[in-house]
Amino acid sequence: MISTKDLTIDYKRGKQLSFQDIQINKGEQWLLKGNSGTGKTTLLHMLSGILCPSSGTIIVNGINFNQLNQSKKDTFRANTIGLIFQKNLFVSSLNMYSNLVIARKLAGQSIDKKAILQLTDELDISALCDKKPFELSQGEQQRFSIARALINQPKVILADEPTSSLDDTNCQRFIDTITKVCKQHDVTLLVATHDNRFNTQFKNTIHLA
Amino acid sequence: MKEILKLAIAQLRAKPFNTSLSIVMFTIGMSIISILMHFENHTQSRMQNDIAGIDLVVGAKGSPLQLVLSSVFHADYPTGNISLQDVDKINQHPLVKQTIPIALGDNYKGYRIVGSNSEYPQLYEAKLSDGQWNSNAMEVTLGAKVAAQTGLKPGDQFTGVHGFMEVGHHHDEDIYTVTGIMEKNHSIIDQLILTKVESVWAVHDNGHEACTHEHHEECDHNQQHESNHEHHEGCSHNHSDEHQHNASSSLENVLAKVDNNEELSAEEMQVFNEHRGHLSEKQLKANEAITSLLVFYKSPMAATTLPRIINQNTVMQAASPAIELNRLLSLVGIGLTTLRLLAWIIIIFSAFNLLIHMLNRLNQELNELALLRALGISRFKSLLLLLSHGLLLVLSGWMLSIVTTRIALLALSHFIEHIDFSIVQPLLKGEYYLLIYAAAIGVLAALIPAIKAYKTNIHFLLNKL
Repeated sequence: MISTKDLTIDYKRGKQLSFQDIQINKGEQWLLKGNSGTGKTTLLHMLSGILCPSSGTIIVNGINFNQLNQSKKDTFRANTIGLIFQKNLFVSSLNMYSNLVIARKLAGQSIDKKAILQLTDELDISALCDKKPFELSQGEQQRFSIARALINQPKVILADEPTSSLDDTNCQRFIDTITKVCKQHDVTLLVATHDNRFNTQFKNTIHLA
Repeated sequence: MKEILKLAIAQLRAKPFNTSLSIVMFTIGMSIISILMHFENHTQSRMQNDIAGIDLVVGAKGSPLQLVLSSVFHADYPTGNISLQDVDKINQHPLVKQTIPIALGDNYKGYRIVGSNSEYPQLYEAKLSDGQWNSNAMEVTLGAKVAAQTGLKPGDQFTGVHGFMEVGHHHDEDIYTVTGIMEKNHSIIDQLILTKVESVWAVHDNGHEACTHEHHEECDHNQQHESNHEHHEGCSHNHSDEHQHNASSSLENVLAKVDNNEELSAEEMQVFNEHRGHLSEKQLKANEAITSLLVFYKSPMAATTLPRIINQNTVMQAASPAIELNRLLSLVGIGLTTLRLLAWIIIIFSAFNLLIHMLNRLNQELNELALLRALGISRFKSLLLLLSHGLLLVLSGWMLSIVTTRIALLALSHFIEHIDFSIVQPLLKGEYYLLIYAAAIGVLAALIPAIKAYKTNIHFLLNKL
């Protein structure tokens, strides 16, 4: 599902980061570990097409990123990849339901209300759909992040430090939920984190040095 | 596209105070310009309308502007009177197609009583809304505004006041009867009381005609001291036989003085001149004079010759309403230009305000934009989002200014006489230009943030959060 080869990226001050090759198969759940500054977020952004590597190849879902231009990458990201961010990012002027569907709507895609309701039921957030982002707790917001990442029925979910702002209870709940949901939907999951609370649940780990 | 607009509206509505402040600032500037344009347009078209194709105004010598103002726009005092004999000469001139006499002298509650013939209301295509046209002397037809303000109806009677001010000498013996009321005509005729020239003659019988405007003050004066100056010439309003007796007795005095080579006072001089006039005009009655004559040319060629002939060869003057109007507007124009400049300064400032507003917004919402980009929204669509922000702001500002302008104009016509705007004003050409200007400002105000957003690295931005 995800494979990289000889990835490097140049930073401004002549610094260069190179990454080990990655091979993740469909439906697998992986941790991406490493200390700050080792390039976890950078790697995730490259895998999602937000950032361009200086050299090397990325193949996600059989598509080689080197063959895509920026706008095709945007479309690819919208259709294939679900992103969960370190901070809970929402459009503050829209309610949670609109936040879930805004990306699909802006991309001009149809909306399956039934599927969305099913998804929010699974995550136990259906009752919160009318609320605005600032009315929700961190844990609730994070569950909406999962829902939003899944809304397009992606092949891959990339999560960047998703639990850094959660307490132990919410963190455990998040880990349980995301692993369960990804299994149900047969989605490949890669979580970048330095949170050791994940260790027990994940068999596969990439260590960045 | 619909979704982008929806999102833009939601984002604007999320900050109602900021948004409305920007819109209001923009609206104020646009409204001022818009009101000015309407005002100018209205004044010009109204004045053109009032001119109604009148080619030339012929009246007593004096200021041409005054002559046009008094006889066409009914705004100033007349320059004096012209005799019917002179009028006939113009009527018979081969270059003249049509003439309409105007005889002024009195008012009722500030509305001028205009002596003319039936061609005068035809000139403005005035129609009756009630009653009949005035056909006999001392019958009047009221303009729509006069009827509305005074409450007079057909069959009602009133007495005029001498001169053009509301307060003055009443012609108590001469009673006008209302026979009809005209429809609203949106021209000067709305503010006039139309009667026959004969009515004016009847009220100001004999030498009284001489005291139209220059002697206006004197007339009041005379009225107050009538008992002391029984034999004062001209302005008393006794029965005509008695009046003539007075006049002739003073005439005898004057003639005696002339015989003795004594010095004459101004009034005595007038009596003497009048007497001489009577002789030379073969006893033409002194009251048979009018204030002015509205002249229509038979061919455009007349414009070059007729005014010159009249101005050089007669005791009258000829003034072209079009030329005098241009002269007047060029004087007023300086003020309008200053106001317009001021309004442009205001809308340029409001444009800057809009720009600052957009930049502030972007700084706050850049992470939301980054989010949308990360979720797969293309650069082009995020550009459209910012553009629709800017355009929504300016377009609602423009629409609001159109509404505000119309309300303001309606209010203005309530407070200012001679101006009547209806609530439905067509969009002026200038207002379309304002729309284009507004759209340009909207695009410009969105462009700088858009470029900023376009260049922003989502990776960098997401990392910073």
